[in-house]
This record gives sequence, C-alpha cells and structure tokens, in this order.
Amino acid sequence: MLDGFVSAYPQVKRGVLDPRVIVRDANAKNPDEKVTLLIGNGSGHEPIAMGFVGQGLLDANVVGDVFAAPSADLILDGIAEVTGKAGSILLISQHSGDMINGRGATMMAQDEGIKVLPLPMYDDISAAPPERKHDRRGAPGTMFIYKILGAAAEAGMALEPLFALGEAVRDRIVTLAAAVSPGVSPLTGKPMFTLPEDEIFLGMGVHGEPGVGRVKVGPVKDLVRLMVDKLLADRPIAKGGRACVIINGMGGTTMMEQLTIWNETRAYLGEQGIAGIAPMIGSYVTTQEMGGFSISLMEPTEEMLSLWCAPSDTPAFPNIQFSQED
Amino acid sequence: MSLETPVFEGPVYGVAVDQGSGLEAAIREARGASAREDDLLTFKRIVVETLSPEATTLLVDSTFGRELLPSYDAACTKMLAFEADVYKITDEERITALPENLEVSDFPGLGAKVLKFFLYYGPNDPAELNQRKFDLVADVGQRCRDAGVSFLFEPIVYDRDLPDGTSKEFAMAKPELVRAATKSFADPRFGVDILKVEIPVNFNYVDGVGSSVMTHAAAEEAFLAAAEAAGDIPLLYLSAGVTYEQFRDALAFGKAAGVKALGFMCGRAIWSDAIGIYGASGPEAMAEWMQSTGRERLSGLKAAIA
Repeated sequence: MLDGFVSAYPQVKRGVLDPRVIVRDANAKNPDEKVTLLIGNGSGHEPIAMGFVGQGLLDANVVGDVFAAPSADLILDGIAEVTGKAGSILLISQHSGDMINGRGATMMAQDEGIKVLPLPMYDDISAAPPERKHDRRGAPGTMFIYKILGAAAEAGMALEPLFALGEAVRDRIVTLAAAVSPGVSPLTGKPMFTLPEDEIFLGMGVHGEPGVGRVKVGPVKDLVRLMVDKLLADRPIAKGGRACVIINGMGGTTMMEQLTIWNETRAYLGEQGIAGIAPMIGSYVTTQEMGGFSISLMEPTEEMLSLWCAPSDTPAFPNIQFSQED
Repeated sequence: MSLETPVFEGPVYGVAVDQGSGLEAAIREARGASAREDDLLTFKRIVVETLSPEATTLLVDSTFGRELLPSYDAACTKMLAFEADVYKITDEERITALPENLEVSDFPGLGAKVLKFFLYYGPNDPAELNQRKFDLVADVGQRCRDAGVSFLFEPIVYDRDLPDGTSKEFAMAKPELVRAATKSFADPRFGVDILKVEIPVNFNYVDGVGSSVMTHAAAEEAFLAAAEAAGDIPLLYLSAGVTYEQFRDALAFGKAAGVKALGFMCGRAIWSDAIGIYGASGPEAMAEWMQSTGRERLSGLKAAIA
C-alpha cells in the first residue's frame, strides 16, 4: 500500500529513518523555523492520516499494521525525522494502544533532547459522558485539529501557542457515528459486527467498537435530527452561533447519501438558529466497506474558521469552502 | 503468594487460545489445499465451545475476541488479550504490538473480567530498555485499574547471550531468569493482579527425566525460589509450547516441591494435536477430539495440581 501511495502523490515520500514513516516532500519547510506536526496510527482507515501529509497539514504520518498501533520506536523515528529547533506536536487519536506507545515515544524523544509535545485528541461523545470527555475515543472530528493546527503551523505559529490552540479546538469538537452495515475485517475475514437489517448502531467506533445503542431504521432526516440533538446536548451552541461540520462516510456510504445527510444537518441546525458552515464531506476515515457515517460539529472562533478554510496541498484533504453568505 | 484474587474464587484451570499468525500458519499448513480464510476462527471457536464448560477461564485474542466471547459457557470467566498479535514481535527490543481496535475501557462492556498482557523480558537487558518495558506494563496496569478490570501479566524470559531457548546453557540460566522476572513484576507499582509465568525448569535437563544437568533437588529449589519471588501475587503456570505430558508432570512436580500456585493457563499442550486433526479431517473431527481427548487433558492437568 505504501509503495502505491508514495508513487502516486508528489506531496509525500518515505522517511529516511524508517520507510514506514511517510513525510512531506514538496515544499517542506525548514523544521528549525516551522513547528512540525505528526501522528502515528494503525492502517486500515485510509485516506486518514497518510493522505493528510503535505503543505498546510501534517509533516509526517507513522503507519502501523492494520488496526495495530505503531510501536513507540517507530513513532520515535517519525518524531526524529521531522523535528527541528522549532519543535513538534505528536497528535494522538485517543485509543489505548496509541496513547501508550505515543506517550512512550514522546518520553524517549524528550530524553534525547527533542522538543516534542503529545496532544491527545478525543471527540466521540458515545464513549464517555461530558464530565469524562478526556476518556473519549478519537473519531473523525479530530480532522478539525489536524487541519487547524496544520494551517497555523504553516503560517509560523510557535510551539506553545500552537499546542494551546490544539487544546482549544479539541474542547469545541463533538462527533457521533451511526453504522448501518458492517465492514469485513481485514484481520478476520468476518463482518465486524452483526445488526438486524432494520436497525442502526448509534455511536459505533471506527473499528466496530460497541455503540451507545440501537435505533430502528427510519427516514434519514429523523436520524440526523436525533444525532444533532445528542451532539448539541453534549456541547451546546447558542442561537445565532455557527458550527463547522464534518460528514464522514465510513467506506460504504455514497457521496449522494453523504450530501443528503449534510443537507439535513444544515437544515436542522438552521432550525436551532445555528449556521452549519464550511462542511467537509466525504469518506476520509474509513473501515473497509462499513456502511454508515458520522457527524462532527465544531463551534469555531474566527481564527479557527480562517485556519479551517486555509489552503492546503495534500493527497486527500479537500479544500474547505466558506463564504459569509453561508 | 495468594490463592485468592478479586476475580477468581479458588483454583484456576485456564485454557488459552490467543495465538495469532503462528497458529494461523500451522493450521493453513495442516489444511493444505482445503485451507479456508476462516479456519483460524473456526479452530478457536471449537476450543471455546468444547473447553469453556470445563475451564475456570479461557483466554482469547483481541482480533477474534468480540467474535468468540459470546460463545463462552456462562460459568467460564472471560479473559481477553491486549496485544495486536501475540507472536508478532518484529523488533530487536521485543516489545509487544498493541491493538488499536480494542480499548482497555471496552473490556467491561465485552464481559471480559481479566486483561492479559504479554511481554518478552530479559532481566539482563540494558536498564534503559527494561525501564521502557516497566513503564509500558505500569501504563497497562493503571488502565486496568481505571477500567475495573483484573490485570494478568505474562513475562516470557530470554537472554540475548543465550539465543537458543532449548539449549543446556539456557536451561541452566532459566530458573534465575524466571525468578528475576517474577520478582520484578510482582512490585505493586505495576498493578498486576495475577502473574502468568513459565515453568522455571526445562525438564529435558533434569536428572531422572532428561539428561543430568540439573539435580532433582535443584529443580525443586528453582520452583520454590521463583514462586516465592511473587510475594502476594498469585501465580498461574503457562505451558509455553511443551507437550501435554510434560506440562502435566511439571505441574505435579511443582506441587510436590511445595509450590502453592493459583493454577495454570494451558494452550498448545491441550490443543496442539488438534491442529493435525483439523487439517486432515476438518472441524467436526476436531470438535469430537476436543470433546474427548481435549477434555481429558484438561482433567489431567486439574488432577496434577489439585
């Protein structure tokens, strides 16, 4: 897979210290002057995160085996590969294995005098209640953090304020997923869960982790309303506010369906007096052919919105569009 | 050493079928042209269905755990491994690959009361490397406490200067390696509830069983010293690839030496012969064999330690 990836896209190449580290190629900036961003994760969910390496986004992605956290050693290679005097931030999508190895790699790097800060990312409201939000899993809403920090780093923001910005963005993100059909696990060759044809799993994790409950299949409008209600109950947005939106397909959901979901999301947010803006719509965090989608909301500051919509050049991250008329 | 744990009342007669790519390759080879993609899952399911009614606990891996846990007998405690692939240790430092599709916090929801974590540990390795391993084990232990899950830790010993684990030299070093590993991880800072440890003696080199490298008395002393190193942490012995007869006799030897173990976790010593039966005659023949010989073997091990 990695051979195909690096041969297809000029924005990326393999790392020198380890070929399982994908690093930015075209227009890479001097790491002594620019804070670098990287993340380690298991494969099996492409295009995230290797597809987001490039200008205005990530400087490296450390690629593990399918559904397995990359080792601390491998992550350390990634950190060492891209970190200069300006320092780096290791983004960690919160899963037990990724956290353990990410933290281990950070400690080893710091012992070697490398300036790196780990930033755990979590947004899945089904994994824990608001008072324990730091126990939540990383879900597609973490892409807000990738992009906003990537754009800010590209613009020259220093390490400490960049890290603080990451925490601030994290506090503003909520995600909820709905799965309608399983994908076949590449590890077992079996469907990752079973579900009656007339039911939907709410809160399904990206690997088929248990959700918060099942609901009966109904009109997509009703499902979207239920999900948005839960998201806004978890992190309210006042009337007159704005929400940037990610509609992520899990792999087996068509763009036609995702656009319908976006439209229903936007309409229902509008009914609540909230403007749904600057959407990112597509299958960016996938699990084989799993049918389903997630909705992520972020109430942006002006700075966050500007960075969310800033241009980037990576193999897979889209250009986010926003006009004041939205 | 304690014979009680928060999760088990009384002795533990455990079965393990958490092997990953190594077992998959063995089954594929045994099946030959008849091999199917789901052979590994089918094999494990047969072990679960035939032995969980007779076992105190049964251990499965993170890859197939969600699929297999619902098949357990109701009285059998569910134990789930927290490793991406137990045999897939690719780097020089031998640090276990962690799964990304399983959270420690998922265990209660899956009904898994015990988390098993395995790590190669060389007591004579550089201190810096072992400190990293200690940090890793402590981190997993803390997550278990946070999630209310019992933590079973399995250190498998090695020595870089003695790469042949079957050699006479390694057999002579093994008692101290196992004792040292047991002592290290019995420290309360790791939060280990149960230690799953190797038989500290290679009986191929014990006088009266194999060649006369180690005396009977020295073997007894090795058992006792390694067990005492656990302090208050209960011990389960693992079969680590020896034959059923060897494992049964080793358990009986330890008991006769005065070791009070909580019990055992046995994998290949019970079901390795079933691989050939599965390969030659298919799942139904294997299930029949497990119902008879497999269960007899489990009973034999219970008797050896009772």
